[in-house]
Amino acid sequence: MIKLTTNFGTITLELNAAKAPKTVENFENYVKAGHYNGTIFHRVINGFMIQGGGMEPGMAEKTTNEQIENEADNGLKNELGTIAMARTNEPHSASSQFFINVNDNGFLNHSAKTPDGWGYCVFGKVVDGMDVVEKIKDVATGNNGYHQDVPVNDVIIESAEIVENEE
Amino acid sequence: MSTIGFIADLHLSEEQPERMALFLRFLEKYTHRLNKLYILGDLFEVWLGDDIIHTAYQPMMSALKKASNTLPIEIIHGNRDFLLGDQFALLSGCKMVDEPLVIKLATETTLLMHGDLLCTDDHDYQQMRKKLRSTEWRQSFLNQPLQKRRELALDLRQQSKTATREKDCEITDTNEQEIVHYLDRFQATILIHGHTHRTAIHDHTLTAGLRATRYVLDEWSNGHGQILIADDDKLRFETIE
Repeated sequence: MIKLTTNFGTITLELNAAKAPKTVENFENYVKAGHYNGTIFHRVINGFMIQGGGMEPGMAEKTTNEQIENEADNGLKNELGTIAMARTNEPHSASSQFFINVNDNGFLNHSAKTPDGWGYCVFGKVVDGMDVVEKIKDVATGNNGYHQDVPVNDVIIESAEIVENEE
Repeated sequence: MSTIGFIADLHLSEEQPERMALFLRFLEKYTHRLNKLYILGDLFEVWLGDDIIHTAYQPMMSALKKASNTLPIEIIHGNRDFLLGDQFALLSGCKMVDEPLVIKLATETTLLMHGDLLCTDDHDYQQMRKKLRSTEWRQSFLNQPLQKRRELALDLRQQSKTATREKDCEITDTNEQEIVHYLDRFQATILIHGHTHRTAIHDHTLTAGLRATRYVLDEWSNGHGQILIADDDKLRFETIE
């Protein structure tokens, strides 16, 4: 499991390596490298999703590893409380940024192996700390340069770490 | 001296040919008086994507193209036609512009908006608006076949109607604080918008004490339309018949 410690509280994620092996490996590599420590949730749209993992306070974009293959055709759905990879318009362009769905966003699911239909790859879900996610989705947002929906006060991922499953 | 026209909320649809005819008459008979035309949102009742323009719109597309040869036309997206895109702009000769658009009328800094951004008391609507305007939602919607897009648009409209009906009218009108916020931000003394269909002229005072005037455009309905005309640094409403 993954523990995201934020300035709003702790979010615990369970990743689905069986359904999204490459995406989970990629995410865990960023966690191990400390990439997410000190990054922010920089795009928050209540009723939709909260996105982070690629920007530092001040909206400075971090350098990332190679883009990864999009495994959105794995059958996992963009439902409330799931985590998925963010990307550009190009389907196979995810690197470090991810988002947590704060609604059932069926329109993000895979529908066809076309540029527009590929969808967004779900690779896990929140198992604890949905109250923290709910608090984050409600923060005030504004425009920051070319970016919209940026929290007015930083929502910081202080640390991301891999923790043992609680049995 | 230039004459500038502002219109909004025509809600053109293939189901209401009389509205389309009124707009065609306007483009043909009226626009020669203007040096510039701004359409402040909801030109169309619904827009499902530039790739499926209904054949009923063809005469209007041609008329827009013809008018825009001599008259610059700029369009702000409304809450119903926010999917108007590059292809529409190319075919119609109109320019799509982001809101708030800041222009000068004589010496007055003027803000042009559709108006829905000002209705901040309706939190659910503002939330939904952000999602629908996201790249992800637009891409997913435009990827659907026509029939599916129609169904989705109908669902959205039903949701919005239900939501609006259940709330007090007060709440879906514009929010005074938000209006002053926009005026303050741009130090504007004139704001022109549509959306609420509550045509009026309102006075506002900016935080710094500056006075501003807000012109709310009416919907085009019941066989007539409304235009706000700016010339000689005066603004006045006129009826289009």
